[in-house]
Amino acid sequence: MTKKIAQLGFFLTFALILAYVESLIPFTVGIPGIKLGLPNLTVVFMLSADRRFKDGEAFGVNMMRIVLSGFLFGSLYSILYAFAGAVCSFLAMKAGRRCGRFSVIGISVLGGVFHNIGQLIVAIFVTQTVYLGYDLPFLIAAGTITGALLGLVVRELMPYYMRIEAKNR
Amino acid sequence: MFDCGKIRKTDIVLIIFFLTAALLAGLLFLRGQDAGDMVHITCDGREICSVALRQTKSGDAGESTQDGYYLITCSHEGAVAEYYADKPEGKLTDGTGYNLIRIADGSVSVVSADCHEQICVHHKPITGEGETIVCLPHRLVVEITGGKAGDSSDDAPADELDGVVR
Repeated sequence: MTKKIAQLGFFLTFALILAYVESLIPFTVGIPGIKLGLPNLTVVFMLSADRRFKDGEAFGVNMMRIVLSGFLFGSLYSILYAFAGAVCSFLAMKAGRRCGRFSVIGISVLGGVFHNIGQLIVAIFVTQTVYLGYDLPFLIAAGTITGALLGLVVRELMPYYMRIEAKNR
Repeated sequence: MFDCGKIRKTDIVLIIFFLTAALLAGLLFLRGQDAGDMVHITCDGREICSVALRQTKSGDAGESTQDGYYLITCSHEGAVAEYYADKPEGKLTDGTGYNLIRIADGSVSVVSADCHEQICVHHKPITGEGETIVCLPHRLVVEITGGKAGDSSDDAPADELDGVVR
């Protein structure tokens, strides 16, 4: 139990640091909503870590990360968007993993794309502007690319984590 | 043993599927898109002003120019638009949120704003029908419409400015 608390705390901290790093990078491409999504790394990692974490744990860490980083680096609106994106991408990643045909990269791509779709849906509701749908192609493409990149990073990191984890078992 | 190292064929298929879908949808949207005629600026769902995107060629010296800068101040009492021919300098508002919108040569962009995230300022200039710039903290939407079909209520663009200074 204590170990679990420490682990989850570690991952929450990791996600917050990534959120901070992302807030430092001036990465704008002219379309709102497109960003690297570095904090998503933690969710993808926890979901892919061979059942070391329950899905609820990964989801909870992500939710807490959103609230904390929203108040630290964003605004209430960014929390709202991040929630929508997180729920959508979490469900998509869970479904992707359950079907068992994807590696981390495919799961991460699903997460990236559906994160953007969830955010877009909320943006349409908040602004009551259906025309935001015009951004959808860009958001899907961006989600695919950033998702694939994050998936690659998780794939590279995973063996190291597993090795350390096995040592401290 | 746990493996997440190998990229599977389904991953590649998924990536290609999303990228082609995005490309196709993008092409579809772009093809169906006309250059817009009218710019509508709304705050909290209420229209503040609408401006013709292109210069009217009436030759009427007083009203011919719609190009310029539009200062939108959005507060709880309501929103006001002010027109400037040249970029206004100095302090723009006394504490209430503002967005400074530039309309020139058929394209619309937000030049500056005092919102937290500056997403609207970083947004690329919009030109085509259906494109929008949204400033969520100020609940401001800048939208381009076709203007020709079904928008007969917006026939007098310049007159709809709520508060014109200068």
